[in-house]
Amino acid sequence: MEKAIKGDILSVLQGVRLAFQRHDSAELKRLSNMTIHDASIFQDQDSISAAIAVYSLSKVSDRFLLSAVSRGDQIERKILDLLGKCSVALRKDDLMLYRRCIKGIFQVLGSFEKKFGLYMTEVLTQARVKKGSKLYEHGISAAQTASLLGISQWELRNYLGAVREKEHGGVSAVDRLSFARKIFGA
Amino acid sequence: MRSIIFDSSAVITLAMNNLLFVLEPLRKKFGGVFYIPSSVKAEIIDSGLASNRFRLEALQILAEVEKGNLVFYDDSPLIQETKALESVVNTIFTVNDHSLTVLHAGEIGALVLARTIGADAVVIDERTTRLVIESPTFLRKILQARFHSRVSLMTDRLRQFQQKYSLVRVIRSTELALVAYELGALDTYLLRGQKINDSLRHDLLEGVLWALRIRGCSLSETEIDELVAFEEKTTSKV
Repeated sequence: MEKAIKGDILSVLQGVRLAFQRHDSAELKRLSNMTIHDASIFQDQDSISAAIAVYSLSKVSDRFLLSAVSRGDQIERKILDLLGKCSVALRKDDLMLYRRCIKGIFQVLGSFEKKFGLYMTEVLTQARVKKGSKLYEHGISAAQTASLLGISQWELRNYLGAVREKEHGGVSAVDRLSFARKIFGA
Repeated sequence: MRSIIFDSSAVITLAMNNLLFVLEPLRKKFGGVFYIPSSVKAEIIDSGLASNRFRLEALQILAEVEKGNLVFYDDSPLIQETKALESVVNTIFTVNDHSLTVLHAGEIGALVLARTIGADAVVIDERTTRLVIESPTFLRKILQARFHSRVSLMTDRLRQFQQKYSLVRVIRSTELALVAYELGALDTYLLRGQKINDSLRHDLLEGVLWALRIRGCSLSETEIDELVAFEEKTTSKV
């Protein structure tokens, strides 16, 4: 793992633990964007997984949701425990353990589906799509972004229209249409 | 035989906007073949079929293939050239001395195919791929603004890429839809009591372009305004 990635993930994890304890989903959402910068440059799975996990946590950190789920307090404790173990593992450069802990967070999130009928599969897909849109905003192509996030271009493109694209560089729209008319003989 | 290559982005955009039907009149007018590289079949068809949300769209694309409006081109012999181009394109831009992988093999494969068979154009809705060909310095500005870091452009790599690919012409599903509009292929949306209602043309133009923008195509609001104005000025229907 690149030094920069390790440093950023460690700093994010610290914030995530506190935000999750406070049930601060807005802060968790903000933190989920912090590793996207590294993900855009290095395109590594660790930055991407961290971003997706943190964003997904923002969706389930609502205190009312957790109190509505049976053994919600147990789930909360498990996640906090795993977040702590992630930080410890990363500081020791134990990447295998770190990745197991991140996977563990996803598994705990997956258990929500059974307990509450909350479509965690959908939440995780949406987390990937939303983080993917951030990667796309950084200038990485849609196909490359979809491939990195483990989603289809269908999912990603369906969402990208919500991304405000102001810059349109390259050939002008009128020139492009004029060329199209020429090749179609229209 | 004349040809146009379709990138997966363009096919997906057309499908999501229920505009696949324009392919037949366009193909007949073009008088050639619309190819999709076979290497992106998995992305367009298989992943669509595997999802509940996009399965119908994937089936609609297969129907167009069945009718011959889209043809899968076996680009497996071009794998080596695609890999070689990947290693060039994805080292054009660097951030903090780290090369940025900006394009996917599938996107690059469409360019390789277009150049290899001398296609008239390649239909790409994806912004980054277009900018690598048409305006790499502009893409660099975008990358620099987004990364808040200096992005370097490796000129020797860029020259290597441009030597072969700068002449590849790109159009989008936007231009296909507008040509289809000019051919009357969208007139069905203007029928009111079996007559064409010309006063609806502005709505149709804006409606189509906004739909394409919202569902898949890299198209800015400014471009929409420019294209509507240009269409209304240059087509005799209005």
